[in-house]
Amino acid sequence: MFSAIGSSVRNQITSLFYGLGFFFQVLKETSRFFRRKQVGYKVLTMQILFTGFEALAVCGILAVAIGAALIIIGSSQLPKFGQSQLMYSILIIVITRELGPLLTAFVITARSGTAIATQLGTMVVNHEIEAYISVGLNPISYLVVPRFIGMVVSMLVLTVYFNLFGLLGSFIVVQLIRPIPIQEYLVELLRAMRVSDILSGMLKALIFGVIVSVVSSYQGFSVNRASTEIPVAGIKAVGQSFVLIILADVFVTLVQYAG
Amino acid sequence: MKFKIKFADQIVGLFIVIALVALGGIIIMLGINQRWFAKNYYFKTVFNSSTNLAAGTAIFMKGFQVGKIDAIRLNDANMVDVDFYIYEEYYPKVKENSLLELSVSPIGLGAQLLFHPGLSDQLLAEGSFMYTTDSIEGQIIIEQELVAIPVKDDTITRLLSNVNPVLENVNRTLVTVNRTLTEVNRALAGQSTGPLGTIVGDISATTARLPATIGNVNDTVAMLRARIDTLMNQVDSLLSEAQTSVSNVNGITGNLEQTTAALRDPTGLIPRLLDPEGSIATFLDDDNALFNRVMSIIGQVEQSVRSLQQIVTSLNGEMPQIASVLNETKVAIERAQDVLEGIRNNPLIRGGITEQATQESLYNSMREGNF
Amino acid sequence: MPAERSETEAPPVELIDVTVINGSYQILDQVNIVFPADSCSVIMGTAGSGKSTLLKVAAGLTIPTHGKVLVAGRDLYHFTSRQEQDYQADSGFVFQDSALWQDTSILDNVAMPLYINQPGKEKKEIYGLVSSCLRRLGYDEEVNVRPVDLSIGEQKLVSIARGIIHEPSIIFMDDPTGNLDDDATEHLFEVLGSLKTRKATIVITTNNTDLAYKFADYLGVIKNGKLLAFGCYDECLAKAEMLLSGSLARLKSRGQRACAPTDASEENTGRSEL
Repeated sequence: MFSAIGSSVRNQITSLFYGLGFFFQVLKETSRFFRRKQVGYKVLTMQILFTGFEALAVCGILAVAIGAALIIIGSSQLPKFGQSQLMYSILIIVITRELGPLLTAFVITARSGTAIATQLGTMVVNHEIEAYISVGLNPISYLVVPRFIGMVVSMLVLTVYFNLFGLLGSFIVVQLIRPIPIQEYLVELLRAMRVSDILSGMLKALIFGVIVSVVSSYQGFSVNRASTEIPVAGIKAVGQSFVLIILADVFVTLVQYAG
Repeated sequence: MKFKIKFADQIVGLFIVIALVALGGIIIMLGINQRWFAKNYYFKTVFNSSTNLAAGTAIFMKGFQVGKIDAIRLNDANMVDVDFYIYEEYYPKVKENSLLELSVSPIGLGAQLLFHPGLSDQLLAEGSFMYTTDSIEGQIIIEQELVAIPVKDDTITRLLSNVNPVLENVNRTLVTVNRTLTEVNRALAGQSTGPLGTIVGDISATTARLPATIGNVNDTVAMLRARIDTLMNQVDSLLSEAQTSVSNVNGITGNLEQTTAALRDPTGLIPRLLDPEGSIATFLDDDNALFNRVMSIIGQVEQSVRSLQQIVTSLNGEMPQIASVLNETKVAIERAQDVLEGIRNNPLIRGGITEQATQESLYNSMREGNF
Repeated sequence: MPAERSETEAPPVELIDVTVINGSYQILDQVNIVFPADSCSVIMGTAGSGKSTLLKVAAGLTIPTHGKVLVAGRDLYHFTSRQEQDYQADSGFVFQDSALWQDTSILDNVAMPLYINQPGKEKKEIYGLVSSCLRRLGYDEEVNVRPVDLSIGEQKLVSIARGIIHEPSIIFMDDPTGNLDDDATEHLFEVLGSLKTRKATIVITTNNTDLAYKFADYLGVIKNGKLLAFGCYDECLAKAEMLLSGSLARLKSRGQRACAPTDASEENTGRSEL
């Protein structure tokens, strides 16, 4: 039994180091990506199109719904405590700092994380990866890096849109139910907002994007030969991404509020 | 789908550019809103203590924020050096002989840093030293009237001055109520010679005045905003008023206890109540008409006090005393109501005083709850 | 262009003591082999004997558990990633199962080596090269379709085109005649013939005796991960006679043939091992 535990721990550690090695490989190739005039740009564009642009609607709806709920609750409940100003702080904390990046990351994981893992897994099974190597293309730089950059860019951009929808779109929706003067809303919102809020949200988006793309492509590549491994890779990619995203979120929040 | 793939580059480009523009726009708006790009004019001063001072403390002039404290530090002479700045748009007001004043709330509700512009024609050069009102130089400047020190018009002062007349009115009402109750007491004790109707009429007259008084409170408050008075006098009188109110309420409470005790003692009451010549008989023999009238009056009083309480709720943060005074007033009035109801319920026939569901004031409940 | 050609003394690819173990299963067992330059080496063996793995190790696609691969005399595993990619870009590999990139068109599939080796080439030129190469292989249909739209045989043709389009100095073909019908095989043979005249180093694994008979300058036999014989066609055929039946026996039945092209023979005779 001890040996079983021992070997499982050793495997875990090995795979952890392998994962980290993979991550640094990705970073190294990413640094080279823009210096090379490469065919990878097309993959990058497509990745942003699929990961970012096509997730815009889902993120937009989420953001407007959450923002509208917050504004309605805030503007009806908070004055009871004489704290109506808090609404703007709450909006910013929830939309800009916390839920914005987190929900965007969840949407992206569910949509594109699985897509990347299964796509790369299928390519491994079909020997397409080997085919890339055989023509002299590094699969990390050609396949992973564009997905990595595409996902990180999509995360950042979608987070901005999430903020736009969550803070402005929801305001417009709320106008239909409970009008608030736009002047007041904007001025108060901008007063409550700090650059650190935006930076915090963007930092989280960046970290989440890195996590989702690296985990998903790592899981995709971990497929060996059988096509039955592909859905497993997809499930693992989502599961690990979620866990790591939440851990990272807690970590970043702790660092920011403790520091 | 075909369209998307064909124009992937354009779509993606637009997608990113819009986001960047939005982000940039938000940050620029933020910067404008939070004065990143505006120029500040820096000055120095010295305070005795850094209590109530911190980097970032706002400087006000007539309620407008005109600047901020940049940094504070303890110097070799054990004084507190303060670097502060005045916003560009207010710099033209920074004349020579301008003073800074740290205005501390007398009831421990924080402090405000006030800027008083000098009456000179010369602008104070950037980086120069500005005296405080506490300093000897500052006192000299004030004495020579080289500085325009306005009426205290910060929020707390304003609120305090508004509370004063309100309290006066409450006080008057309380005195009347007290007097009336005393009369009722005496009538009940058989000491009153006049009919109870007179007394009740008396109550009616006083209380009828009350809603109007209360209604006037807002006007009074508004009026008083313009009133020029010194802060300390107001606060002093306010505090003494509050004190008086409390003692008044104590008196009322004492009286009420007496009344209640009397009512609860049937041996003394029975003969008095059975006395056909007694005023109580009159009181009770008119199909409750009189009682209802009294009740409605009391109801009005209570309503008035409630509306007063509402006003005071908003002042809660600033004036804990008012809330407690009013709360006690309310208790007093409710007990008066109890007394009258007790009379109606005629302890001989039905007996007892109905339980009142008490409503706590917002102030108390907020403080006592787990917050 | 390739360094291998200038260094005539070192063979383009050489495997030394290569062992590949996957889990508990030994695929290759201490294989030593030298693929002579500018000649066609054909490795034959039964299914599962390790032919494909041998080819992938030689092409740098599979990292052996033990042993090393020398490319033009230098250890492949000491290459920088750049050098390794250069080696791979300058070689062509035809996969047994085609391994076309499913998400790109046939045109891009075939043209990919061109994009990498000759960046900046005109789109029109690339299109011309691709379609002429495909036509030589007998494929003359639309090139702007996805691999899934093609039959398996056509996919194989496209895969072969991808392996040779950039005129690599080393060509690895893993069972090139698999899935091909007779016509397509004919076309393939023509292309192989022209490749031989171009003096490329060709390494083919196959079970097709026709192919071996027509093109093999050197012949190897592999069984259960062990290289039983490798050498000049007749020599190998003679040595391996007792070891194998089946395809080799059929090949044997086709009779003797002249051995090896002139320029590569000297260096090979010394090195071929049993």
